[in-house]
Amino acid sequence: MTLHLENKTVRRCRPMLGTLVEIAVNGYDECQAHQAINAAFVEVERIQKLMSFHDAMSEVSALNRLAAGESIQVSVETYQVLKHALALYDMTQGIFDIAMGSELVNKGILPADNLSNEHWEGTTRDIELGPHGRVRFLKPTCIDLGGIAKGFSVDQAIKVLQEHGVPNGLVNAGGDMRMIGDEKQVVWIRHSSTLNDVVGYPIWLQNAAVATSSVRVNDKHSHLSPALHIQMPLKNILNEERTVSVVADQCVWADALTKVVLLADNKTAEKCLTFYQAKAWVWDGGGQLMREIN
Amino acid sequence: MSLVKTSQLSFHLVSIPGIVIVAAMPGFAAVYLNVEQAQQVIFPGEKFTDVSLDLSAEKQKILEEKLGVSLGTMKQKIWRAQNGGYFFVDQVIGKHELIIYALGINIDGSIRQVEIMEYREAYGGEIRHKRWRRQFEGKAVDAPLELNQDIKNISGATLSCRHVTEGVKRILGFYDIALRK
Repeated sequence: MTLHLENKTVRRCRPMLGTLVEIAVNGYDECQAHQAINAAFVEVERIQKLMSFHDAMSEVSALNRLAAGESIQVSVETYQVLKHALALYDMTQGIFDIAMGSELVNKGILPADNLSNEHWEGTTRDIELGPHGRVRFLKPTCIDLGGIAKGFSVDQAIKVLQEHGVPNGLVNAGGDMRMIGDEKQVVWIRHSSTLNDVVGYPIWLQNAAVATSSVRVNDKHSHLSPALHIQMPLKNILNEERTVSVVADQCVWADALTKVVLLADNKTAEKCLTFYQAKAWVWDGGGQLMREIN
Repeated sequence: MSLVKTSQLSFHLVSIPGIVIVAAMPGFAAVYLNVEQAQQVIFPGEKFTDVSLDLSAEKQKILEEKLGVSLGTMKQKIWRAQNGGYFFVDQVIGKHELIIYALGINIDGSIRQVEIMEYREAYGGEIRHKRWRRQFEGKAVDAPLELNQDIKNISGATLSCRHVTEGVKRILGFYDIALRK
């Protein structure tokens, strides 16, 4: 590639994680920017391979094949995400539960291809994290990291950009994004009700992450909602359209906390947001701001 | 595990007391790479020659049957890389979006890389969105925000990459019949 001396913004985009992942680098040599972006995409792909429910070779699939009491060693990254999930499970008294895979399979949202068991009874609490990256399921458990892994992938991609010396950068995985650097940028929040038409509420961010989740009700697009991943046990609570955006310093928190705010009671949501130094906005189905938390 | 508090690296959230809507809101659009850039991203350092296909009527028929689309509707352009790989530029049009993307195919027929070159969302929510806009009316201007400006970052309901995935499959089928040796 031709080397340009001026430092312009390099933006790239690839289909990944079931969506489009965009990575932008600003104020950096163009060649190096491309190299950093390439490496960040490779990292997102690596995380996807580790944590995909759809991939029989993933660590998530290997975990879901475990019998009660059996353990395997997983990567540092999968271990870390499970640790985050356990913390959120405890803090939300079980509302944030990644062990919803079987219900999602039963509803036809996730494929049953990679599973061997049919009787799952475990919750996130039945995941035991041992030394040296060993993970044991106390009961047969079917996990899906759909509600947290996308944010984690964004953080990992940002880490790679930082390792490459990128001063200003942004990673946006289908609306879950994080930016680094001095630049203040505007992020538009899009509500479920305005899907594909226009964008909504603007938020200015710097050195922060933001994620948005929507719940649509009785709608053919409801499968688009990432919040569905934890909606199942509480479906009676969520019978109205909601969009939640959370800003935090890491995308893994922003991603996971959107689900907490959607599903938990106000007190629990506030407690979690405070703990993770995050802030949330909640909109109704018409795009009207209902509340700001923290 | 014990709970680990997030780092003290604080983020700066700049809330907006109000903005002024100056114009209708555009849909999201982004240009990532032109053809030459996409070629160099996918096949660094390679040189390319245009490929124009002169398919026999018979082959055309096989292709159309296999791919389930009329060849006339396929918009892809093809280049051959010096190393024997192929580089395609194709576009997919969904109900709400137009995506132009590049696909590199290795000499063994495997996918080398997919890069989005251009992405454009349909425009059309202006009227429906009046109610949303009202919440900003009459508020102080805090930031010079022109809604006609390029919208770079959207958080929230986004499109899946399904159409691109389908397009890539179609091209692989096309490659198999028309180009593979």
